Amino acid sequence: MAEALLPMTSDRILATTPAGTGATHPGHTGAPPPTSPTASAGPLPPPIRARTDRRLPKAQLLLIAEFVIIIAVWEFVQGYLKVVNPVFLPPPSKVWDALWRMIGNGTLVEAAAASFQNFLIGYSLAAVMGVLLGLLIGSWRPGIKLIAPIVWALYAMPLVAIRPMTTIWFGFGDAPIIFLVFLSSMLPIILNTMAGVSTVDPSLKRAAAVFGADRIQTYRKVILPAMVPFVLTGLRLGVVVGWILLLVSEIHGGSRGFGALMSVAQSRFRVDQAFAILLVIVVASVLSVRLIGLLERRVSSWRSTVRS
Amino acid sequence: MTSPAVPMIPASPPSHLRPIPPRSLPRRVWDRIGWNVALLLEIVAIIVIAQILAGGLTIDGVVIIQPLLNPQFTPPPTQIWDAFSRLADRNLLFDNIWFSLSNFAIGFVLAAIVGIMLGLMLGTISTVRTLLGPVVWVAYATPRVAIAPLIVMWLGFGAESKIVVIFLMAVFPIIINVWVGASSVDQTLLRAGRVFGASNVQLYRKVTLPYILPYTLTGLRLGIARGLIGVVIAEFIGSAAGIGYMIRLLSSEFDLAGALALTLVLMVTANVAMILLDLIRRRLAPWYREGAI
Repeated sequence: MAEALLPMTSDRILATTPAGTGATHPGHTGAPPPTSPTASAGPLPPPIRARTDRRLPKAQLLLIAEFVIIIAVWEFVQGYLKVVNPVFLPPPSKVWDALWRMIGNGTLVEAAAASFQNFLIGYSLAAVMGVLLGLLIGSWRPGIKLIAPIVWALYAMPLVAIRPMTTIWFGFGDAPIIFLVFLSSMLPIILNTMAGVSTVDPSLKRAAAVFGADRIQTYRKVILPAMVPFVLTGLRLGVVVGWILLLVSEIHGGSRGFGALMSVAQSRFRVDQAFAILLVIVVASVLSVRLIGLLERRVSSWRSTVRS
Repeated sequence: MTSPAVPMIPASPPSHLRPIPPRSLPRRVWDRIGWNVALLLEIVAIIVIAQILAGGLTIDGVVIIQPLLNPQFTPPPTQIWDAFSRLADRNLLFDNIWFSLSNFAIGFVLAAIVGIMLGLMLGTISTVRTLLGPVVWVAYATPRVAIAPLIVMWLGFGAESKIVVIFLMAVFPIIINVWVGASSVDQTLLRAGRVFGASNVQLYRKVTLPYILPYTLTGLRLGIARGLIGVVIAEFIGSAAGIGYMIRLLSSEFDLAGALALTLVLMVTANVAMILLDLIRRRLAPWYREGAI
């Protein structure tokens, strides 16, 4: 795992950069990340040349050594010396055992299936609705002035707060979880798509008009391609927020999924199980963020070539 | 002057070359406040419609419109408004808001201090980057809410566990953004500074810090959003006070008006915090605009 994650090469920073930066607040509405204060709204920052690039193998070795040492020290302190009561902080070997037991008896697989299913339903609905609504709001001036501020206000607040109420509205099953994933991941997608539509370089649109493009052609050839990076930033932010809401919804009142397992482990004081679940969540979320990062680089690779 | 060979030239110059006519006074007033007035009217309209949908319309005791929605599930705005005074009478309002907001303030300030310092170190010191970078990155990519149940278990139901959860939620976006800012400082600017004889301290103060400022503010804004999620989730999991605790309690009593009233408090808090941060940005980094519509 450590090896796969070694992040500090230039492209890896590129992939993480705008992770949080896409959505801004009213007043200075959301072009994705702060590339450089002077650059106009481009969602991808210029590639960063990290100094460690040339010494990568050495850095990788160091990293692996670091993780091994952390785990060894933890094992020694908690498994052998037992400084803190191991009930509260079990050694890595216990966590590993718990992980295999939970995989063996199927609880983890079941939870993963439930979580991924709810996430995918909510998120894909959010992606479709978010892009559509973003396009509508962003290309319509009253939309930007009258609807966008409300979307901003909702995006700024912790939507988790309505979790107990969703149980009253939608019942105890998966419906409230899907609803919250949908709602929370749709907001950043709307906001970034909107920013993408409304900040297309006017000189590009003029150029298209000069070459005789009609409205539909301008849309297809100029506005949509210029939007792609914004939409992707929105989609990635949606993944991050959606995961948070998924887990919170499951922890608080969910009947299945990672969060529900976590909640059960907590109430039974099974910290080893909790850590094992955490490990799976870490791997899953790192993978999903990287997947979107890859997609982003693939789809908008023309951007860097155009720029440089 | 149009020659028949080029018939496409229009008679008048294109719109962006024509002089802009001076605008009339009402037009200028509208440009300045028009959309804000419209937004205000829109919000009032939404509240009125919600009231009619959920509470119906009664004039002088005569029911004109029956409520379409069950007020038990979707309380009308007037009930939400009444809930404030009802909760205040039961001494449930201000103490809980204070508990949540003070926890948030402590956790967030700690996160800001630690986040900015760590971010600067990660961006400028390569040893720190090699050792801590991957750990920070993994922690950032993980939804850290998942660890909240453990923290409540370790630290109990008091304020400590809340502050730690808020800190953990808020600190990583700040670290990452400051880090990205610090490691992408324009090298030409640094070289130019050196050419003009700036010392290291001067370079830091005059080039690096101003360059990182917008990134830091972005990180802080995200930190606020994530920290508020932390407030709510930590209180959901285990607490005896706070806004999140009250929302949970009132929902379980089917008092949706009260729960929505407290949600409204959270919404206002979040947006006020964002607006304050935006004001700070305008003061400190007026040259920086994150896109404009």
